[in-house]
Amino acid sequence: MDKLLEVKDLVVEFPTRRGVLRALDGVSFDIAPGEILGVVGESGAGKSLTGAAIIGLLEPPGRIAGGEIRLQGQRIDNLPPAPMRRIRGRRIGAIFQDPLTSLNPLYSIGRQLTETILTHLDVTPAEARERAIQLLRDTGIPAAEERIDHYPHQFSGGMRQRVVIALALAAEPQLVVADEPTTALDVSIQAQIITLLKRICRQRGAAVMLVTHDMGVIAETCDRVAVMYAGRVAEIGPVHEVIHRPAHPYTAGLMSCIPDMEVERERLHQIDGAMPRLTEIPRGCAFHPRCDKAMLRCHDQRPELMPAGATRAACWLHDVAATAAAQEMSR
Amino acid sequence: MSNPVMEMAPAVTPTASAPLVVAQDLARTFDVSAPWLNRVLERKPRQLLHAVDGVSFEIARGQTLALVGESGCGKSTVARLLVGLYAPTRGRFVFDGQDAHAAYRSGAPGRLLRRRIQMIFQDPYASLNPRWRVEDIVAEPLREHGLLSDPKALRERVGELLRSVGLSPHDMVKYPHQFSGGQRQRISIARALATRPDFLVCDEPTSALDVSVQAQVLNIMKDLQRQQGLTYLFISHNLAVVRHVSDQVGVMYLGRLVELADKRTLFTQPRHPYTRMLLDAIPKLHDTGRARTPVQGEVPNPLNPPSGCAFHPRCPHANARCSAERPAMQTLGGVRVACHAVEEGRI
Repeated sequence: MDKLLEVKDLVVEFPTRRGVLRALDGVSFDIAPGEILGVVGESGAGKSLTGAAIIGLLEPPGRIAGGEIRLQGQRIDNLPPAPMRRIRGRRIGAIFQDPLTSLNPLYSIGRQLTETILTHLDVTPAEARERAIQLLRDTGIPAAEERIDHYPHQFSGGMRQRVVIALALAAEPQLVVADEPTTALDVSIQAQIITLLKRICRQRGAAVMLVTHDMGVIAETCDRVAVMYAGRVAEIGPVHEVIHRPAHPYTAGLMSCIPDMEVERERLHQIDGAMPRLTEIPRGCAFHPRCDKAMLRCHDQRPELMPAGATRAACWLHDVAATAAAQEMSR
Repeated sequence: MSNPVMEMAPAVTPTASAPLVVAQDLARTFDVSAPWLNRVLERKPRQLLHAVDGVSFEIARGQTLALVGESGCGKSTVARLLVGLYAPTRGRFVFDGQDAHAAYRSGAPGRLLRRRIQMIFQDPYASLNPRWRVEDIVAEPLREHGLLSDPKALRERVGELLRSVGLSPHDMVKYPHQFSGGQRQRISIARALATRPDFLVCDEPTSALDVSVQAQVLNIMKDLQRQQGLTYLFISHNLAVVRHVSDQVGVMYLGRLVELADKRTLFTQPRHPYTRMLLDAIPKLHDTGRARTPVQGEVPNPLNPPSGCAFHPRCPHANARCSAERPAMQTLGGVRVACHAVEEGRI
C-alpha cells in the first residue's frame, strides 16, 4: 500500500546549557491515505513534538537531528521555510488544542478562511468566500452566511473549534495533524467535535494524525494507534488489538489505569512512579524501572519495535528468538 | 494530648446520625454589570449572573458526593461557597449542626470550622507557592491555626503527613518544581490533611493529571478516606472518575442540580435527559469505532438562561411545558430529579 506519510527514525533534540536533550529518539510510523492514526501517551512522551516536527513547527532551539519525514515519498523534514510553508496548509492541515489561540482575534473568521483559501488555491475572492461559507456549513455552524463575518470572540469554544477545523481543511489537505483537538472542550461538545472531525476527513479522504491523551477518543475514532513513552513508540497497531490485547506492559498498564464505566473496582490499577525526565531517561528500555515484567536484558538493551501478535511492540517479551533460545536452555 | 483539635480527631467509623454536610437552597449571584458610568450613559441594565441557583444536598459522614457538570454549571462556585471563599446570596450551609457561614463571619468559631473543612484545588502547579519548601507548605496550616509551634514536632508531623500520601519525609526540603504533577497534588492533599479535617472539598483534583498518575492520586484519596473517615465533596467533569470515587452523584446544569442519586442508580438508570446525554457522550473503550449520535447544541449563556427548564433547547423530550415552567426537584423512586418529562412519565 502507498504511504501518505512516512516517519523514519525521527530524532528531535534540544540543545541546552546542560547538554543536548533527546526529546524524540528514533520514532518511526507511517500513515496510509485516508487513515486515522491515533498517537497517545502521557505528558512528556513526545506526542505533540512528533506532530510539530511533521508540520515543521518545532520551537527553536528544538531541531530535527536525525531520521526523515516523507510526504508521498518527498522528504519534507529538511525543506527551507518557504516551500515548507506551501506544504503546510495546502497539503498538511493543523488543528491545535486551544481554539482561541489558533484564531486571530482581530480578523473576522471569514477573512481568515478566505485568506487561507486564496493563498493555497487558484480561485477568485468571490469563490473563496463561497467555499468558506460551504466549509462552515459542513462543519455544522448554523447560519454560516451571517456567522462568516463574526469575530472569534463571538463564538463559543465548541463553535471556535469547528472554525479551526474548517480552517485546517480549507485548502483540502491530504493530512490533518490534530493535536489534542478536544481537550479544552466539555464532554458533550467533545463528542460532537470528534464525530465531525471523523466524518469530514472521511468525506474528503484526508488522513488524520490525532494526538491525544484520551484513550476513549482514540478507541472511538482511530484505525490504528501508536502508544508513545519517553520519546519513543512503545507499541503500534490496529486500535482494537492495542486496546484489548496490549502487547507492551506500558500499554497494558495505561489501559488498566483508566477508570472504567462498565466495571467497578475498589482500587484502580496504578503504574507506580512517573515518566522519566528527559535528563534522566534510563538505559535499556526506558520503561523498565516501572515495569513489573522487566528482565535482566531490559536494563541495558534497548528494544526496537518487533512483531507482537497483531501489533508491533518495543518490548523484549516479544523477542521470539530469545524466548525460543531460553526454552532450549531450560530443556 | 492537651491540644483541643487533636482530641477532636474525627471518628473513624461513620455514625448513622445526622449528615455532616447539609446544603439548603444555596445560591450565589454575581453582579457582572457594566461600570456605573456606562450604565448611566448607555442605559445598560444591571446584569446578574446566577452562578448557583438553589442547590440542596446532604453528605453523610464518611461518604463522597460528586458534583458533575460542564464548565460554567456552577460546580466550582458550590465548592467555594462551602469552604467560605464566597458568602451565599441565599440559602444555608449547615456543617455538623451549625450554620457555617454565620461561623465563618465570626472569629473563633470560624477558625475552628476552617480547620475542619479543607480544600484541594485543581491545578497543582498554581496552588503551591513556588518559593516555599514543601515543609513550609505543609506546615503552614498547622502554624496558622496554632496547632503546633515546636519546630521538632512540626517536622515530625509534616513527615508523617507526607508519608500518608506516599511521599518520603526526605522530600520536605525540596521545592514544588522538583516534583511531578501527581506528586504536587499529593503535597496539596498532605497540606489539606494537616489540620485533621473532617470534610475535604476537592475541586477537579485529578483533571490536570495523566491517567496513570490520576489512578495513583485517586487510590490515595480513597485510602485516606477509609483510614480517617473523611467526607468528600468531589467535583469533576469526568464521569468515569466520579463513578470510581463517589457514593452519591449530583448532576448540575446552569447553576442548578438536575439529578441527585446514589451512584449505582445514576449510572444504571439515569433519569434526567441531561444525565443520559452526559453518559452517552463518554467515549467508551469497549466499542471501538462505534458511531454515536452526539447530542446537539451547547451550554447556553448563563447570563441569559433559557426560560422554563434550562435544558429544554437541547432536550429531545422537551414540550411546551418545559419551555414555560421551571421543573422543581422531586423525589421519584428514591432519586431526586428536576424534569417534567420524568415526572409525567413521558420518559
